[in-house]
Amino acid sequence: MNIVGEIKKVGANLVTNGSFKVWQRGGSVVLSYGETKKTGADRFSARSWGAGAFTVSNSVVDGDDAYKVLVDASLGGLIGGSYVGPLMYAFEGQELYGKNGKKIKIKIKIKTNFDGVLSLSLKNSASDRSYLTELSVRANVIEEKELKIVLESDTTLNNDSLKGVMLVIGGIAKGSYESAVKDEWVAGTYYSVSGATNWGVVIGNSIEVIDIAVGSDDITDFIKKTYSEELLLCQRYYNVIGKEAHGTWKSGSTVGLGWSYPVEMRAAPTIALATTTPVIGRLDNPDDTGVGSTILTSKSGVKGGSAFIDGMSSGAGNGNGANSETDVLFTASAEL
Amino acid sequence: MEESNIIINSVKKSKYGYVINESLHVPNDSKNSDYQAVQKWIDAGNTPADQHTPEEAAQIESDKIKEAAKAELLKVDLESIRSIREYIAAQPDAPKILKDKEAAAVLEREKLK
Repeated sequence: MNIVGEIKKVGANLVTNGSFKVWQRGGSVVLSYGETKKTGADRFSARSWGAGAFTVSNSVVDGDDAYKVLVDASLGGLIGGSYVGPLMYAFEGQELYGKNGKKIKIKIKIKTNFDGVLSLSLKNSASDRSYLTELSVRANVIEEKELKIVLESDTTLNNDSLKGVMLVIGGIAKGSYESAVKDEWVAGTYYSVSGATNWGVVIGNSIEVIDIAVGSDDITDFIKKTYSEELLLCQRYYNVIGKEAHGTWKSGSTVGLGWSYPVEMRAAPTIALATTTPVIGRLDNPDDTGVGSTILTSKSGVKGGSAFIDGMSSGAGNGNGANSETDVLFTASAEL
Repeated sequence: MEESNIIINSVKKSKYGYVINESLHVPNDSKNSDYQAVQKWIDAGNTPADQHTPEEAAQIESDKIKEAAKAELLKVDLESIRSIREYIAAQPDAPKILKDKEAAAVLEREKLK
């Protein structure tokens, strides 16, 4: 009698937000021709380099969050162009460091509304070596796929927080980013296997990725992180700084801000005034109408920063420039 | 070579790094991907604009001169007030309030010695 049963080896998923729980940028992003955007889902980006457009949005499949890519009916199918990367993930070098020449496991839970073959590609940080493989899908069936890929032995995997290997799922490529060579590393930058389904040409086609995990070859179960754990990991790359950035009136229409991050960011982040709701430059006094419009100076560090914001108009009950305590919404990005 | 993740329309130098497209404030950190994009943009033969236009720089310089002049004027005015008080307080028919203020000032200055 087997009293031990199956012993599963559990391990960490090297993909942060692989279950698509965290969407700090909002639940829906439209990508038009020629655009590359960090998508609503933290740590993921998408690229549309062909005619037409698609929407990336948060959806729910069987009760789980999913990353949905939809060929946008209002903007037309993704016809022609160089390539489309609807779901891209960049690892830090240190996350795969030491795995040169070793086998990694990729587990993916995916649902499409069409039958076909999708491309899955890896490329190195220099974008001069690529690996292509295929993923068959059936319409409206949740597929759970497991792939094993040997990382190149001579690929330099940097042991730092700089961009390492890039993973792309569902890439459509025409021209220079397409290759017929699959299941081996080759020189060049490729996103799509020749002959893969050109799903982007059909308006209404969609891909929903429910879960993606990457780790050592021998892992049988990946550890599921909580929302809070995922959020902190995501905030290492991207932060929305709202009420915490409490401003102090400096002079005229200028406020000064100082802030700290919930986690130390991977690099000193780029700072921008947000253009999404809640409205920028929201003032404490409900009579106030001012909005922040210009960052005069921005001193950005991995633990926090400071800035002067201009363009804060005076409110009805405050005749001396901007309110002395002013909330301004920032975004701080230290993305790869 | 793959396209950069950011479409750069303009780059301006700033005190702490660069400002891309008049909206993104990029720090001097080689690990920041926007900073890397600016370096590629420069390598491609582009040149970042100065932090301020000549007109803005002239205005800033003018403002600095005015601020310095205001500070100097304030100092002159304060010193003039003291001189006037000291002169009047030395007169035999000086108002008592000014004599008292001068006596108080002498006492306070003693503490500074």
